[in-house]
Amino acid sequence: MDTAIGYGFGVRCDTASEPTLVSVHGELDAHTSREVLARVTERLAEAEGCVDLDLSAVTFLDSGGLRALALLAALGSGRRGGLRLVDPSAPVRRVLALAGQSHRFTVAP
Amino acid sequence: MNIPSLAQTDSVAERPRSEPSPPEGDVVAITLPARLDRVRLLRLVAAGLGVDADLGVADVEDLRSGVDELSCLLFAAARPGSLARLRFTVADGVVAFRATVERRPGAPIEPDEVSRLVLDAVTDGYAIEASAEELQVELVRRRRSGAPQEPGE
Repeated sequence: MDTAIGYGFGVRCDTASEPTLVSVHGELDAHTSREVLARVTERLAEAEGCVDLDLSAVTFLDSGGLRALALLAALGSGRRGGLRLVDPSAPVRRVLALAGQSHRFTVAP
Repeated sequence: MNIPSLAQTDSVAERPRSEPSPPEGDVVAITLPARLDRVRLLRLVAAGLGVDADLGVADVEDLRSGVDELSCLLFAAARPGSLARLRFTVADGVVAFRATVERRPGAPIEPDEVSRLVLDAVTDGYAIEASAEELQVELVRRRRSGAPQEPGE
């Protein structure tokens, strides 16, 4: 199931995969992060186990997007499996490092 | 559920900052709705002007991040339905950005810890000024990385 809100940004959910996989592509900022927050919160509530959030195609991240990721990580920590970031792109890793927030997330190998 | 505080950070190296001082150069002025969905357009403009100023690739990324952080902060505190007035000044090796909006009554304009860390890292100085009616932000970004690549390199 895909959601696109323009400018090449989109969220794709693969509920058939194990673990559940949510992929984000495009620029994850204070505006577009609302969609990610809604979609991943939904998956966290419904998935039996871990939810993987694929960030390999994220081309930009700002502190608004980072806040959304931190909120989702906190939501995931209260349930079995939790939330893992998968293959964060260079722009994501850059902002995690600049903001000193890498410790907050589980990154899948 | 408690919303997590982002105050706890990894160890991050501090970078000395200077106050923004706008360069002499070409001015690009833009007026647009002070809404978060318009910030992407500003990132595009910032990137284009960073290239025009012969900033390096990493410098342009930093400029995009700085303009984004300050614009999001500003637009979140703007009066709904109002316009933002934005001004880029471009010279060799430097881009300055200034933006002004009408203030939503009582709206706070204070970057959180994460925003501050990002702004400290990606700008060569930024400032936030607030009065009862108006809010203004500005930043300067200078070339730090090596000389820009020539076409074909």
